[in-house]
Amino acid sequence: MLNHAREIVARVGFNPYRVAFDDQNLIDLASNNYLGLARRAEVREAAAHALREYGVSFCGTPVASGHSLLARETARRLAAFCGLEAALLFPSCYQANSGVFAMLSGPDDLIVIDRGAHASLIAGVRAAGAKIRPFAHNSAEHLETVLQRAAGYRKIFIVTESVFSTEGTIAPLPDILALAERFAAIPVIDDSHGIGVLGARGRGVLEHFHIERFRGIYTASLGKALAGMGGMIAGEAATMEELEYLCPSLIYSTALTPPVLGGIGGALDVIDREFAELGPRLWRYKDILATALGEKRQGGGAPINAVACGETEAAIRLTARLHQEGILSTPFIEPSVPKNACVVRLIAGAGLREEEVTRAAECLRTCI
Amino acid sequence: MNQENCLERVVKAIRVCKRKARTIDAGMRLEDDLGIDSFEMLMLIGELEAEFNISIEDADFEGVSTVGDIVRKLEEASC
Repeated sequence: MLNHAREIVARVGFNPYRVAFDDQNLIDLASNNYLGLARRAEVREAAAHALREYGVSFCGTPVASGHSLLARETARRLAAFCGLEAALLFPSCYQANSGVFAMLSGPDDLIVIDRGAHASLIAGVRAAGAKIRPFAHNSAEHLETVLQRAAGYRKIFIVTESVFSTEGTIAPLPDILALAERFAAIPVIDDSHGIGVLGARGRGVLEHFHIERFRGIYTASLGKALAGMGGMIAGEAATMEELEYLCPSLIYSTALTPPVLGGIGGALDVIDREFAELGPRLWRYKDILATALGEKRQGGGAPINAVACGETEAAIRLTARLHQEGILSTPFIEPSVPKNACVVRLIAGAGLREEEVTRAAECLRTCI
Repeated sequence: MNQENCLERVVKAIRVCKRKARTIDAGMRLEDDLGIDSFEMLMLIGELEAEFNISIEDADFEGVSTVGDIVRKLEEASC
């Protein structure tokens, strides 16, 4: 697989793994900077303030020197932001997702997971040693069929994402939660592309679907709309307390750094204050690109546009062509997507100027 | 269970995972021809369990690489 990708990169003469992001003239349709907060002055200042107060790093795991008041307050704010009781902070969402299942489940359990789930969730469920049965992407009907067959398990988990990152499809969460209730299963939702994006106040998928008293496990990346890095697991306080003492990917990792924590706090402030303006702008930009793509667009309801390319080489060639035109995009190739189902993903964050998005749309009409 | 009937039922299970597959025959390779990776194989095993009303240990299907291999495995199991 790696050699195949190398051959294509050499043939096309463009390496998407090594595109310098430093070029300020590029129109960024590649990052997950949904709200444009990564460069906002208030967020930079909040990060800088934490840096001045606490230094560059806590130089320790949470159980050693990393459990600062700043970390505790950030976790508290994030939990409240999503409408949940408590949250734990991880060095990455990959570590949150890959570590959580081994703590909650074992060989006597069943994990039913969306076929299109992120690699971190797949790594996590594989590590648990439970029986794994994927269900068809976003199909509550197939999920129900799989659950109806399940018998004799100690616990059942239903795992999905709120927004699937490749194409922006949104999970039918109310249907999934109804099935979880009916089959006494524990829902695990990764809201990495929903937090700061979905919902009337940008508070994520639970707000989007008006879900209150969520009784499951919620995970999210802090490095997308929240413009930081790291990940979170949130849910009921008792479960979080258990994980805090048990989860190796938390216990044995150096805590998130002060500027990251400070920046996340700054980002939450901006979202609370300005989402009413930033949110609609993000959706408007999505629509501008969607209109330009027309029938070539592949995707769902989230502010993500994707162009179906088929083979790996076609995806890399389109990324290269867009780069020539001054547009940074993301090719999704195997193994991130199924064979011959490669796409180029485009996210027009609210931090872009409207004329940049319009210019990108014109380029897309020409290039695709 | 005759071989033809078994193949039909295996194809039915595969179609749950691969709705867009045009033709599916015994000689087709699961990964290279049908794009069924190791994760999707778990979904297929679930469908086979339901179709044949049996319980399958995932490890028993680790060496399976073609549609025909699945048919043979299931025939062996029913002997």
